[in-house]
Amino acid sequence: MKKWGEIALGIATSVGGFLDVGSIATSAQAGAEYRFKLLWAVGLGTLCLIFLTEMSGRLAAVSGHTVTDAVRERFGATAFVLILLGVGASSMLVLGAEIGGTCLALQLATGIHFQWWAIPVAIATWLFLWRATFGMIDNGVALLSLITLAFVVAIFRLHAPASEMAHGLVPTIPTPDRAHAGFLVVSILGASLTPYLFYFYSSGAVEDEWDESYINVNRVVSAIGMTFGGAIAAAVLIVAAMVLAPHGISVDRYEQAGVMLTDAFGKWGFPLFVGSLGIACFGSALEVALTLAYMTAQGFGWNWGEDQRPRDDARFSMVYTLAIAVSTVIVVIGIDPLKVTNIAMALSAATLPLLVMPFLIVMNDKVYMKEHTNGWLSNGVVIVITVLAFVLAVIAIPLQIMGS
Amino acid sequence: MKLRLGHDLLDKQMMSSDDKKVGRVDGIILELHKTTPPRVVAVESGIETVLHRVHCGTKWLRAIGRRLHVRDDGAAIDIPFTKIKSIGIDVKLMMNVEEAATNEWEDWLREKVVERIPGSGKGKKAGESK
Repeated sequence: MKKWGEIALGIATSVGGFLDVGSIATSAQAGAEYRFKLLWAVGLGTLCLIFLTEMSGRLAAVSGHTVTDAVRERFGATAFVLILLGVGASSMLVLGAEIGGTCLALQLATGIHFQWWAIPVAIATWLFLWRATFGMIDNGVALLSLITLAFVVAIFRLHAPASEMAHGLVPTIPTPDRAHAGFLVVSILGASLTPYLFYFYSSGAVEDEWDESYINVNRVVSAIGMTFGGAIAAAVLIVAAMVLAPHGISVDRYEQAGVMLTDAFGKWGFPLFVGSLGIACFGSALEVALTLAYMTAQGFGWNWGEDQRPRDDARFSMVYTLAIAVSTVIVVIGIDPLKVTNIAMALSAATLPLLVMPFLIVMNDKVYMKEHTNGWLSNGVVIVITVLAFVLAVIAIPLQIMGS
Repeated sequence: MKLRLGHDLLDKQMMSSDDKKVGRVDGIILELHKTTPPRVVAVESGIETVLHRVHCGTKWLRAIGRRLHVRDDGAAIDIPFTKIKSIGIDVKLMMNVEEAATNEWEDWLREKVVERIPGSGKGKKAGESK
């Protein structure tokens, strides 16, 4: 019976974890500019994420090791340091984007410019990590994120056209400006597959002391949880396509997305949007900062755990403290959070193979996985989507830079 | 029993006798003799050794460590091979955290920084560790 509770909670957590500044921004841009035509990218990203989180949960359940542990042990110090630098750099940008997104939500709510919110938001993020247990963060984020279901409700209120949405599930790179559409696809894939998600998931599974009896729980949680998360991201795209596209509003600034929910909810639309953006970003900021600390501590073999008092894992606590401090600089100096988001998401897609390939090799290693190694389906899906994201990133990022 | 040092020992997580994480096997020390074959005498642990392996930053870290009085001699920490109890997915030691002495940076950070910030010692599940 306890497991059913955990399944429900796990699903809610996955939804909370999925929707972040990246998913909201990239989905809103895609919907506003290409209507339903890039819906397939959200689907593809979600599918890959389901497999990746299932794998990282299974690794934790069977071996008691996180993704970082296994990569360090199997591939050595050089590979670990490279990955830490790569993921570290892109995650710091993502963290900056999440803090920036929270600040923008506060700007929309109060009219006070986002830069002024940077330091209060950073302190709030840090204070949560300093004082709260893993369960409090995980469950709190999950519960509050339910507000983002407003986007799903909005689809029904707006009577979204089913056939056109179905067409959007067929992969195409639409005109006009295919280079830009390609870049958006890369950003969407990057946003769905931000590495912190599955690194966080495996660390969480170890914090929750999963063992082999959790293999099925893990399967259900990752499949349903990520599907729900993906559905909300898709809902953001659909709402943008129905509300923003007809008015010719392309989301160059977050403020323009603020009216997204007004058609469906009237005067409640704006507060619902601001609440969704703020909570999704704040929750993700907590998770990204924690993930950076997890990765560093695990790779070097330090004592770690969000349930421990900061004095008992001083190095672990200092890593997230530093990460928050450094990432906040991006917001304080006033770089447009939407720009930071787009760059961070595209970088995530480009660095994906660096993380996924070692992870896949571990998942096929009997020393870690015993009889629970990957099947051909998991290997196949993950390889195909990762390679696709990487190839698209290599083509689309330079084109986008040249174009603008 | 055969032990492949690079595959079975290097980079593994070390656990103390009181079941705490005490760093990884970052290096392996062999002693060379003229007449007998080389012998594994110790494993090394610490960021110094990791940086040494990736060929950068070692000097900086030592300089910072000396300046902050974390570790005055700047050397990596050796754990005698005889103190290793078992080698599996993790490496289990026959020493507790203090004996292993791999936590100098941890101790320095705790004393000089973390404990001076309010709320570092209360609130969460007190003292519990994995």
